[in-house]
Amino acid sequence: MPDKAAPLVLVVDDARDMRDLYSLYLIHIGMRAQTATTVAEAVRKAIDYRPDVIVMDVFLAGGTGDEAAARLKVDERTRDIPLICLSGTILQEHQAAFARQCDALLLKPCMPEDVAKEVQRVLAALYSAS
Amino acid sequence: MDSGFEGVEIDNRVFGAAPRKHAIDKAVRDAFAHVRGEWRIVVSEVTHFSPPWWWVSVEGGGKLLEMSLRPWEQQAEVLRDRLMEALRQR
Repeated sequence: MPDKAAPLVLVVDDARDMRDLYSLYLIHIGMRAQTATTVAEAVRKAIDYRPDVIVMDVFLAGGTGDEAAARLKVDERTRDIPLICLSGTILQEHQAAFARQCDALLLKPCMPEDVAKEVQRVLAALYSAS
Repeated sequence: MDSGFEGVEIDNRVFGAAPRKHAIDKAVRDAFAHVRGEWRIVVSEVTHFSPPWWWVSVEGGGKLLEMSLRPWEQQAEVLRDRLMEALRQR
């Protein structure tokens, strides 16, 4: 069972298999994880659980990752939580627009270890800055 | 790597005997049998889990799709059906 002091990551993806894969992998390497499926659930859980990092797919049920990112970044309760976005689009203009709302953008394909490395990198930067 | 049919490239990194690898390749070919365009499909294993999960990425048509299959889902027909479902939804 992960230590309660372990970093908490909120994994947001409407695809159950990828949500499970990423969250279980993060738990496997010693982190804690919460999951969300929709934009509304992501925002609610970000407020309720105050995760250390949010990992979010660009395509979500009930909205898009862009919409969720915008909501998370204007709310003072969630705007300081680092946001790592996963994008499967190859449209350069969409990537650029999405990237502006995120603290990090990962382009698919993303193996779970790629996601974990990015989470660890963002956390290391966060801790070194504080 | 299988480039034996037009437009679809399979990078099958699943460990195991040839029949199992051939069944995976066939499942992918069946799923893309009537799909046009250029596609690249990678089937790999997440070996941190025991038994490993399969991780599948599909690149083509301007999109990248991903999916994972747990050990009990790792059958050729399940892979074929999941790929076909993903292609319908894209």
